[in-house]
Amino acid sequence: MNKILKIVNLKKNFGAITASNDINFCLETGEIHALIGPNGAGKSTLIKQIMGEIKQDSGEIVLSGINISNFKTEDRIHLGFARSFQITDVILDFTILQNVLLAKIGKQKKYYNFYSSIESSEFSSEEIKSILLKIDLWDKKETPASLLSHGERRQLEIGIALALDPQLILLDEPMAGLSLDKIEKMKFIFNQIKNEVPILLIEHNMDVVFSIANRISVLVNGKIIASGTSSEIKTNLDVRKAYLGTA
Amino acid sequence: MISEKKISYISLIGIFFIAIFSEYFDEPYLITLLSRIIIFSIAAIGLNLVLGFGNLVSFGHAAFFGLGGYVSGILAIHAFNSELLISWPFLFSGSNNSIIIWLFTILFCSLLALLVGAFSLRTSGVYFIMITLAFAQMLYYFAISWPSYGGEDGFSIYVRSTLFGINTMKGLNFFFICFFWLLIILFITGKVVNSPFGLALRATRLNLTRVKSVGINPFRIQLMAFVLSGAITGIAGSLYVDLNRFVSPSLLSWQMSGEFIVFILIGGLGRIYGPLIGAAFFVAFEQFFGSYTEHWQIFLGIIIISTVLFAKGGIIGFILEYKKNE
Amino acid sequence: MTAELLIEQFLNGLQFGFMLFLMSAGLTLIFGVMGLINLAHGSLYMIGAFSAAATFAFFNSFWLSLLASFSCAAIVGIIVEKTIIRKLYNRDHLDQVLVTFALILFFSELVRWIFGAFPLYLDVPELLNGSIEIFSGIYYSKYRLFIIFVGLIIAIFLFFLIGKTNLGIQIRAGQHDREMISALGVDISKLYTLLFGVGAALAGLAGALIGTIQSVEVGMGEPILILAFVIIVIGGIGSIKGAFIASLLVGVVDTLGRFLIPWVLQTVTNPSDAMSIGSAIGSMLIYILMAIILILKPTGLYGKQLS
Repeated sequence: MNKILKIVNLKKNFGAITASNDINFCLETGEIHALIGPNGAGKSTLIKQIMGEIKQDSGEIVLSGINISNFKTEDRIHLGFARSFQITDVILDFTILQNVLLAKIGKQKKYYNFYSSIESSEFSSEEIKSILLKIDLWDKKETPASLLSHGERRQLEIGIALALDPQLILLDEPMAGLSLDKIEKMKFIFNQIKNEVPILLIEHNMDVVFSIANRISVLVNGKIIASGTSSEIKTNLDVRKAYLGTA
Repeated sequence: MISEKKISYISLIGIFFIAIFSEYFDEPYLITLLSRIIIFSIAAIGLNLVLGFGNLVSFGHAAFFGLGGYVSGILAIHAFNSELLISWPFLFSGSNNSIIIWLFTILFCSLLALLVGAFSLRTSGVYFIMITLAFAQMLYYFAISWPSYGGEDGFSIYVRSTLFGINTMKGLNFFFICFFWLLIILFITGKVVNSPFGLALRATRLNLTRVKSVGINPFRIQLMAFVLSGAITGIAGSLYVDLNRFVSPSLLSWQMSGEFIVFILIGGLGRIYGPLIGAAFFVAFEQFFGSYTEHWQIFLGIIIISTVLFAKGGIIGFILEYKKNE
Repeated sequence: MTAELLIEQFLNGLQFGFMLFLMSAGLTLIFGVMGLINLAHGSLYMIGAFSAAATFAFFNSFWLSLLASFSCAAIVGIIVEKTIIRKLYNRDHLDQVLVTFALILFFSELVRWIFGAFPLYLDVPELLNGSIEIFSGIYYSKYRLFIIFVGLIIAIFLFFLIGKTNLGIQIRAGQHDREMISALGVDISKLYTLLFGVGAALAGLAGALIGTIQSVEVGMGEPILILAFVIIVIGGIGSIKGAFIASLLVGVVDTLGRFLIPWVLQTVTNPSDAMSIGSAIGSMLIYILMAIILILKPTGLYGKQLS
C-alpha cells in the first residue's frame, strides 16, 4: 500500500492549550480512514493544519512524497486536496453540471479560456459523466442546486470534490442531518470511490464509521490514542475509557 | 413561445430596418437617435459584464466612456490641426483613422480599467461602489480643470474619423459602423459569458468560498472581467464622440455612470441583450416625453422606481413572464 | 503669500468641513443603521436650500428661512422614507443606488419645474455681515464663523445623542446587530423614520447655510453628496466619529490643496502652467486621499472590519 498522506510528529499549541500533541498518522491508497474523537479533541485543528488554514508549530505534512508543511491552502488544493465542507456549500444558482464543471475548470486551470462554450464536448466529457453517474445525479444534471434535497447537495459536494481529480478527499461530517436511506446511499458512494481516491473521514455517527472505515484513528486531547480496524478499536481499552469514562 | 433570444433578434433586426427606412424617408435625425441607442447599449453591455454577471456594482463606468471619448477626440483634433501630440520617442500628431483611434481607445481604457480594478477589487460592497465612483470623479475634475483640451467647455472635432474610405459623415454609413460594432460586442460578450471564464465569473458573484475552494483566484477573474468591461465601454465613448463630433467632461460625469446602470436595469439585469432594450427604451422615452415637457425626467424617475420596486426582471423579464402566464 | 491668507484659507477649509459633516453625519448613520445607500441625500440638501430661499423671498428673514430649511427637508425626508425608502432596506445595494438615483432625477426636475432654472440667492443677515478680528490683524468673515459655530454645536449634540441617550443606545445596537434591536422591543420602523428625518434635517440645514455663500440652484446637491460619500468611506461607514474627522480632513485638504498646489508649482514652472496643472491636481486631491486610505485600510479609518 502507498502512503498518500503522511503526518509526522505534528504539534500545535494555542497558548497553554495543546491542540495537537505529537500526531503521527497516515492515509493509504484504497482506504477510508476515519478520524474520531470526542468534541474538543482537536479534530478541526488537525484538519485546518492539513488544509493549510493554520500553521503547525512543528512536524511535517507529506503528500505523495512532497513535504507540503509550508504550502498555502490554494497550492495544496492544486496538488490534490479536495475537501467537502461541514456546511453544504454548493453554488445554488448553478445546475449540478455547472457546479461540477466549475471545479473541473478550476482544476485544469481553464478559467482564462474566454472562447470555448462550456456546453462544448471539450467540457461535457465522459469524465464529467462518469463523476455524475458515480454520485448518482446524472439524470438531474440540468437541475439547479437550489432545488436539490439536503442529501443530494451532499452528493453534489462529493462530485465537486471528485472533479478536482484529487489525491485524497477529506470529508467533514458528510452524514450530518441525513436520513437513514440517504446514509446508506452515501455509504455505497464512498465505497465505490475509495478505490480511486482514499478518503479521510471525520464523522460522529459511529455506526457509519464502524461499517465503512478500513482503519480508524482516535484523537483525544490532541493525541492519537489508538489506530486500527473497527474490531481493534471497539475492543481497545483506552478508547473505551476516553469515550465512556470506564474501562 | 417567446424566448429571450427571439426578443433580442427582433430588436436587432427592428433597429436595422428602422434605420434603412429612415434613410428612405429622409429622416436623418432618427438615424442619429438609433446610432445613439446603439452606442449607449454598447457602453452598458460593457458594464453589464461586470455588473450583471459578476455582481460588481461599478458606479464609475463613465470613466471608461469618457476616456475613450477623450482619447479619440484628442487624436482626431491633433490630426485635424496637424499639430504634434508627442515629439518623443517619435513624432506623432494624432490620427484620423478609425482603426488607429479604436486601438488607442482599447489600449488606454484597458490600462485604466486594470488600474481602477486592481485598487477597487480589494474592497467590496458599498466601498466598491464608492471607490469606482471616486476614480471617475477624479478624471471628471481633471478634465474640467485641464485647460489644454477645452476644460469645462470641451472641444469640437469637426469631422468624423475615416474608415476604408467610407463617407462617415453620412448618417446611415456611421450607423452601419456602430451597428457592426454592436454585433461584434454582442458576439464577444455572448462567447465570454458562456465560456469557462464566464462560468467562473458568474460563480464569483454567487459564492466566493466555493470559487476559492476549487482553486480559482476570484480577484484575477474579476480583474480580467473589469478590464474587458472597461475596454468595451471605452469603444462606446469613442463612437459617441465621433457621432457628436464633440468632446466634453459630461462624458465623465457620474450621471452618465448612473444612466448606464439604468439601461441595464430597465432592459433586464444579467441578460446579454438587456442593455440594448434598456437603452432603446430610455432614448425613446426621452424623445417621446421630451416632446411634451422639458421635465420628462420626473417621469423617468417614477418609472425607474417602479421598475426596481415592482418589476425586477426589467422589460425582457416582464415580457417573458407575461408570455408564460398567457 | 501671507500668513493671513493661509489662515483664512485654513478657516475656510474648516468651515467647509463642518458643513460636510452635517451632510455626512446623516448619510453615515442611515447607512450604518439601516444599511441604505442614499444618493438622494443631496436632493434633501437642495430642498433645504430652496425652502430657505423661498421663505426668504416671502418674509425676508434669514432666521425664518433657516427654520424652513431643516423642517421642510425633514418633512420631505419622512414622506419619502415612509413611501419608498423603507421598501429598500432589505434590497441589495444595486437597487438602493437605482431608486435613490431616480429620486434625484425626480426631485431635481420637480424643483426646476417649480422654481425655474435660474439660481436664487439668500442674503447674510445684518448681524453676521462683515468681518471680525480673530487674532491681532487677522480678520475673518462673521458668517463663516457662524457656520463653524453651528457645525460645532451640532457635532456636540450628535455625539451626546449617540453616546449618552437612550436613542443613541438603540442606534448603536442597530449598527451592531439589526436582529438584536427588535429583540430589545424597539419599534424599528419608527426609529428608522426618525433617523432618516434627522439626517434629512441636517442635510437641509447645510443646504441653506451653504446656499447663502453660494447660489441656490438645481444640481447643487450632487457635488456635495459625492464629497459626503468620500467622507463616510474615508471615515468608515457607520462611524460618526469617522465622519467628523474625515469631514474636517476633506474640507481642509480640498480647500488648502486648491490654494497651495498652484502656488507651490509656481516655483518650478511658469505661472499659467502652474495654475492649470495645480488646479487640476488640487481638484483631484481628495479622491487621491480616499484611494490611498482605502488601499491602506479597506474599510476606512474607523470602519468595522469586513468579516
